[in-house]
Order: sequence, then structure tokens, then C-alpha cells
Amino acid sequence: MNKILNILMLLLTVMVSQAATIDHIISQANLASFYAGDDGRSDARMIIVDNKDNKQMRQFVILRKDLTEGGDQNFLVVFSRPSDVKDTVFLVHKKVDDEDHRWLYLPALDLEKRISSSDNRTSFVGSDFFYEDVSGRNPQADLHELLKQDDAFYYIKSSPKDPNAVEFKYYTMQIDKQTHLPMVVEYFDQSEAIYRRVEVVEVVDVQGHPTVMKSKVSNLKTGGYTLMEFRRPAYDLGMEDDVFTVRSLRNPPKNWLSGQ
Amino acid sequence: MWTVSAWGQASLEQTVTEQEADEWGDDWATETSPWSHSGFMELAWGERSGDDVLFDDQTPLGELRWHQALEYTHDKFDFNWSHDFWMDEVAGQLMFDLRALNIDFSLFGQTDVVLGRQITTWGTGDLLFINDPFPKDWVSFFSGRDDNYLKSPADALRLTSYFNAFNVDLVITPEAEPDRFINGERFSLFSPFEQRQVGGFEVVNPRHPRQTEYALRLFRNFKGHQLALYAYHGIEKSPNGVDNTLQPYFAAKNVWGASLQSAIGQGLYHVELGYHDALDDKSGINPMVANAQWRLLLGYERELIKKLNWGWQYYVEHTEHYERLIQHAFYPQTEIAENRQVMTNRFTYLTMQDKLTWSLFVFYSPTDDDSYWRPSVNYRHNDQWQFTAGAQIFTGQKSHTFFGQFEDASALYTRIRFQF
Repeated sequence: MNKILNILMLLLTVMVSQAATIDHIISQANLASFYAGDDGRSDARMIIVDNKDNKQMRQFVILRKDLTEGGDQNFLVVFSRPSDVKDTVFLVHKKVDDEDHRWLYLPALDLEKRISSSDNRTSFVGSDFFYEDVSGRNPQADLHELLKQDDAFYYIKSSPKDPNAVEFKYYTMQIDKQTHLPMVVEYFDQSEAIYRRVEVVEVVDVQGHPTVMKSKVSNLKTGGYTLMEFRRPAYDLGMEDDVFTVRSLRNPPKNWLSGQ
Repeated sequence: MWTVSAWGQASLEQTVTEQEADEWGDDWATETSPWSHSGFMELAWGERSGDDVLFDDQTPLGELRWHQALEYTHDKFDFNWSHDFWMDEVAGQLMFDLRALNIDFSLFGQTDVVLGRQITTWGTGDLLFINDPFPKDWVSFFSGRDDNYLKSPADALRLTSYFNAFNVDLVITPEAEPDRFINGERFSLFSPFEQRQVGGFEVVNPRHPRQTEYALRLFRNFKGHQLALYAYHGIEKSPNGVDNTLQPYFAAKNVWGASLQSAIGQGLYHVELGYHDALDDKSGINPMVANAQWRLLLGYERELIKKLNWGWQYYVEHTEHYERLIQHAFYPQTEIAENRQVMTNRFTYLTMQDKLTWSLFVFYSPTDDDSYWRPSVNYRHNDQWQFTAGAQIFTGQKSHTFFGQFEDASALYTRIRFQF
């Protein structure tokens, strides 16, 4: 009897530590991907290419400030190209446990528009990136399973807790053990075929934070893809809280827009 | 700087080729110069769906337009210029519109100033305005130009100060700037004095108002709830008063109002209230000047399914001293309803990775029994080319109601834009 109990205890301990390990890996990946430093800025641009090789471009500056590490965050996105979105500003108060607060400023109408929260798994400004790829997916939304590991990577399979809320059956991640960054994320549909891939193309150390400088999203169903490239990233700039208020919609903070 | 994960470079080189890396083509088009410019050329054409017998030509929209914006950015200020030139088929001449000519800068850390010709917007309504007293271009709106042309500029001073307790927004327009109202030149309208439809030329031609307009907004964001109070001293933005010389004019008015906007579940709601005080007809006995009104707006919007957004609004305007209005009216049967109500629905659906936008906006008034439908589809081929087709459809049972009078203005339009 005692023996069986001991074995059970051991088994339980192994399972718990296994769970603890995977939670730790996922949490670290989330922090490395979306919470580097207490605040940050970067120039960003995207090339959106459809299956007919028709190209579009988006260029913007993105500012971020974390309210709690791994928790709520504020974002300000200021577009500069193409000309029909020039000076359009997007302000997001991201809430981990609630609907985000979002505002959009349209300069031609001087219209400051509160916008309702939308499905986070839809195109970000017409690209193959989803909102969630840019601002992060809540790690608590999925069940994570460590499939295997080697010297370089953890291989993880994640399945949604609410399958009706998303379009994928599950996704897999290759997480770099050194930087904690997910280097390849692949999404599988209901027939378990890969239809979408997000990959990191270049990582650079910025102030001690491994930082994604280039990434690519491929839509394997349509053959379209989007390349994203960052420039002049910087962290821990001491951004004031009021950078992320509606004032910045009409008057974006110049000192943070230009990379120092 | 060092590059981590050499393996990453090696393993991914196959998927991201050299060719793709070159696709950026240019540099970041960086801020080497403080000047930036943008603009577009646009060809637009519209045709009435039925005939308006007051017009020889059934084309309410025909133009080739050049829009150009120029911006100079300095550490301490911005300079903004934008204009439109267009060949107008309906007016039969080259037209010019200065859309912006202003400088903006900050003072004392917490105040933003915009001085010069500018476009201003506030309030919570979607195409219904209670506390937004800034000029609107109804001619552009009705004729099928881009929605951005609904707002027209004014020469004004705007001061916006941000404080912990609340923020203050003040706009002073030294010489009042009215709406670009329907004057008969492009669309006919119902004349309550002649009791018939008039148009085919500029039938409403008032003197330009001289008053100064003051518009004030106090606002704050409290835990995601956006509260605002409004005050306005100025004019009716359309010349719907008649003065002693029997000329149409812009009657003086004050507006007091408030609004609240916040989230409810996955949607957003807004409530806005305003009292429009008729300074030239306080007691409501002058049939030549519109009476005071209370105006209330309720709205809700949300995403129904992926990329399909829906917005709904209910609006009511209550005319004060209604009995006196009817007693003194020359033609009581064509006066507005005591409680005129309007409902709106907006559907916006983005497809083809946001390149194709389907849009429908409908105004419907149960009290006037009239409606205004604005369907459109926009295809954004790439960053240069855009194609739009749409319609403006007015229906009504009576010739004098707000939307019903424009039944003959119903039209189809199309636009082709090249932007740079």
C-alpha cells in the first residue's frame, strides 16, 4: 500500500514539475516576445505580398509601455506610409483579463474614434499578421504540451481551451532555449494540415534583450505572405504614462517617434 | 550588437530568399528632410437614378480632383498645408479648396495649439451631430465624394489643455464658418415658403455670417468611460432662418450638451444629449426662425462576426413650444414633427484581406416616413490604386421631410483614385 502511494506521489511530482516546466517555458517566451524592458519603441514596416505578387507597404512607429510584467500594456502605433494612412494613430490599452480599449484617429476628418474590440485573429492593417501576432496571445488561452526538446529548442504543441474562439485546431512552436523566442510557429487546421507559419528571420541583441528584427508570416492556403522589419529598437526609455492617452492621437510624442 | 542563433539564420535562409530581402526596394524613406508630402488624383462621376426636372443635366458629380498635402515638422511646431484643385463638370469651372493651412505647437507642456485653417471634429455620433458645431459639407456628402469630405475647414484657433481632473478643448472661429449646405445648385430642395421643390441654380444665397463662434468641450477618460460636456455659442450652420428683409440667414444659437461613451461586453455604446437654444426666437412664436430643440442620441456598435461591424443609433429631436410653432406657422402641414426620430444602421464588411470593403449606412425616420441609403464598395488594389462604387438613395412619402425632399437627388457614383 505504502509502495503504491509512494509511486503515485512520485508520478504526481513528475507530472507537476513537467507542468511547471512548460508553464515556465511559455511564460518566458511570452515575456521575451512582448515584454522586453519596461517600455520600448521601434520603427516598423511591412511588405504585404499576395499570391499574384501584388505588393503593399505599411510603415509605422510602435511605442509600448508595460503596466505589469506579463500583464496589461499600452501601445501607440503611428503610421507614416502609405499616404492614405499617413498620420493615422492607433492607441491600445491592452487588458489581459478583459476587452482591450482601442482608439483610432483619422486625420482627414479630425476624428478620434473609440473602436470596439475585434476578433484578435484577424488581419492587422491588411497584412498576414494578426493583431495577436503583434500584441501577443494570452498564454492562458491555450493548453501547452512539451513534445520534445533538443540542445537548441523546445518543441511545443498548444491547443485552444475554447476551440470555437479560434480558427486553428492547434499550433506548434519551436522556442529557442537561449533567447526564449519562438522562432517558428505553425498553425494547423481541423484536418491537421499546416496553413499558416510565423517565423523569425533575424534576431539582434538590443540592450541585453534578444530582439526580433525581421519576421515573416506565410499564408500557405493563399500563397500570400508578409515580411515585417524593425529598425532602431530601444528599451527602458522612461516613457511617461501620458504618452498613451488620447492626447497622443492628435499630437503624437515627437521625441519618442524619432529614434534617438 | 551581436547576432544570436546562427542556426536560425542558416535554417531559415531557404524560406526567406535574397530576392524577398530586396523587395523593400527603397530605404525607409526616412526623415532626412523635415518636409513630407502626399496626395492623390481622383476621377469621379455620378448620375441621378431618376430625373430631377429642375435640372437640365442629371449629373450631380463629375470631376477630376488633385489633392495635395504638405507638412513641415520641427521639434517645436508643425506646419500643415493641404488643398484640392478640381475640374468640376457641374459648376463648369476649375475649383479650389484650401483644406488646411495651420501651425500647431505645444505650450506650457500641457496645452496644444492649432492656429489657422483646420478641420475639427468632436462628439460621439456616427453621421448624426448634436454637439459637433463644426462645418460640414453636405453637398460633397450627398454627391458621392469620399466620406472625408463631409468635414469642411474653418479659420480658427484651437486650444486643448490636458489636466489631471479633466481636459479642456476650446475652438474660436472669429468669423463663423457655416456648413456647405444644399443650396439648389447641385440638388433641389423643398422651400417651406414657396411650398414646392426649388433648384437648378443657387436658390439659397444668404449673406456670409459675421459672428464669432465659440465651441467648448470639457472631457475626461475615467477607467475607459469617456465623459464630455459641451457648450457652443454661434449660429445655425444652415441658413434656415429668414430675416426682416426676407433674406435667408444663419440664426444665432447656443448649444449645451453632454456625452458618454464606454464599452459594454464586446461592444461600445454612446449617449449624447444637447439643448439647442434658438436665441433669435426664444419664445417660439417667430415662424421665420427654427425653435429651440432638445436632441438625444443613443448608439451601440460591435463586431458581429470576423471583419463585419455593425452600428445602430436612435436619435430624437424634440421641438420646444410646438403649439406656438404650429399656431404661427404659415404652412403648419409642412412643419417638422414635434418629436422627429431617426434610426441608423451601419454595416461594414472587410474581405480579401481588407482590400475589399462593403459598406452600408441607412438613415430611417419612422416619424417622417423617409430614409437615406448609402451603400458602397471600395476596392484597394494596392497602395496606389483605389476603386469605389456606390449609391445615394433617398425615399420619402412626403415632399417636405428631411430626407424625402431629396428623393430626386438619388444617384449612383463611381470613383477611381491614384494616390502618391
